[in-house]
Amino acid sequence: MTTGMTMAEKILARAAGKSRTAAGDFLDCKLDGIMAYQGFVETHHNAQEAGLKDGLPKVFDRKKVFLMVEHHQPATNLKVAERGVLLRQLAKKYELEHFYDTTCGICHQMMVDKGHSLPGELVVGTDSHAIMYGALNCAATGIGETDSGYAFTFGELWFQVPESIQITLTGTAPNWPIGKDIMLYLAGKYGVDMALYKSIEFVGPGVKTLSMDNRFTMADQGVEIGAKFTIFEHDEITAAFLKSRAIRPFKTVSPDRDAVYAEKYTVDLSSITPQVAAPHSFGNVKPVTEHVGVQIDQACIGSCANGRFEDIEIAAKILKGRKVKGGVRLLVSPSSWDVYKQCMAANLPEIIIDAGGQFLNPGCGICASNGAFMAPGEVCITATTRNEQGRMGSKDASIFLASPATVAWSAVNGVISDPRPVLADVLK
Amino acid sequence: MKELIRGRVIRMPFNDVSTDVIAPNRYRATTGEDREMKAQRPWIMGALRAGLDDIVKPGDIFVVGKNFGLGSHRETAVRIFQIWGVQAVVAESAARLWFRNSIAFGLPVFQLKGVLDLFAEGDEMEIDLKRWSIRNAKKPAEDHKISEFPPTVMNILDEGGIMQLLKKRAEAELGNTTVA
Repeated sequence: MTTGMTMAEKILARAAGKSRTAAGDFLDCKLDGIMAYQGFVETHHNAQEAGLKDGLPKVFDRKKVFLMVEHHQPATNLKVAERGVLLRQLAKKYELEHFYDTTCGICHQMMVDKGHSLPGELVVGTDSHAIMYGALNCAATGIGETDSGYAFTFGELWFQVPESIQITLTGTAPNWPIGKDIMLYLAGKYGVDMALYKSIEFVGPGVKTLSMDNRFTMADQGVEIGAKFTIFEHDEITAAFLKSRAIRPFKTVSPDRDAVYAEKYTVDLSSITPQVAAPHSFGNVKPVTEHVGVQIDQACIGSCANGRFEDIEIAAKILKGRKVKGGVRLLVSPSSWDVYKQCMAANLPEIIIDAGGQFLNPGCGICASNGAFMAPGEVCITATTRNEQGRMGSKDASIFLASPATVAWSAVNGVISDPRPVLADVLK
Repeated sequence: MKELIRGRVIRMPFNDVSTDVIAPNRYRATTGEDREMKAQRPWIMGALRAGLDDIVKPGDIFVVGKNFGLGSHRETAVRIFQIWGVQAVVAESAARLWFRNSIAFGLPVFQLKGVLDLFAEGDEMEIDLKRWSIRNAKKPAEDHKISEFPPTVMNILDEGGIMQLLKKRAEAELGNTTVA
């Protein structure tokens, strides 16, 4: 008797031209899209080092590669500027249809803003957070620059079909962003290897109470608990997001009722409280109440994890008419120029600037060691992706991870603070 | 790939070691143009063990904990092992993307639960790819089974990495014109 398939199994089977597959199988799959950023220069050099003197011999499909002058933009040093020159040459050489240069936000946000990663698809990107696109009902995952050379040339890669974990969401999400709190809660309770090499499928009645922005945060941070894919089912919220964005037709995917899962969990969204990951691990999590009062020097909101409209909107609601505590640097960076414009339309930059914060350009800067550096002994609370030792400069600095609401309220108080009272106030 | 890999064990008994810890960004020279990682080498896994760069010798085999290599996709966290001349890494478990990158680089990474208990620093390890097992040379009768790599992964390792496989396929399919 055959059993049903999970979403990951269905997508990988289809990409391998098979009618079915199961966890553990190794497949050669055709890719629906490849995202590459400034590291593509590395791919080019690796190809040359391997003896391909002109670099990669061809592109498998000029419409399916999404190349971006991204990660360190505007150029953070001379080397990065030189890489930009080479990237422009390569985009031209391969006649890539989708090349983002002068107005590039965070690569992952670009992929979803511009409708480049769609339901049912298998998409890879040269960055661990490519997993984020799974919020749009696809199988997306990170690869390295070297693998991407093969993908770019032949449009194929090997995959091992992962086991799947089903996480059923029940209850109702509150009307502020809790994607980060959910993922921190899972990491704290089950460990940062909870989903090692597995595909997470978020299902259940609670999903419909989660906005796309929340889902992107959750899919993005799936990699922090080890996941290969984080996949949401397609629903009317997904459809509304894709309506004006999708660049090609797509076919949604759902798990079979009798699909096989390695593990099953249930999370009641109504019970999720603000969580904080203390240095130096995403899994070093306790409720915010355990860290209340810790003095901070810096507070950040942004990155592919938490730089979307709702993340910044809640910060602005908390900051409106208030001031960031003297001496605290509040840095807010939207995840793309589309998001930036959304924020402008709602007057969020002005509110944040008036409160004493900085409203920065879109990009990975405040998260990927390219800005927001900290000196030894300094403390940051941040709604970005990671808090490894040294990620923001000094190895003797401390990084606490939290939701945008917790970060904004902590910035006002100058110490880590529980945002629930102020949320009750500003959202009433 | 060799059927028998034999080498001295460097034991790193730590779990959840992220690629940020393996190859810290703050010691990177500019943005990856330092292909020999000269600036970063002295700081590899420095938060866990100082001076590794002076300890590791070509031919060594790393034994590491669970979920090794989680986090960022950075290839420097794999490249360093090849720069050092490390033959293989045996992990309690390996994080997905770091594992994938290792294969792409042609660095064999094996996963064996309990491996940290089987080896002390400096022990000689034998990885037998005929039997798909691992032994401590001190206890040659004790064979510990590892999972066999599928042909698609063996193919990449045999070529010495996916770029070499790419070159071979490009030569076969597209002719020699594009290849130096």
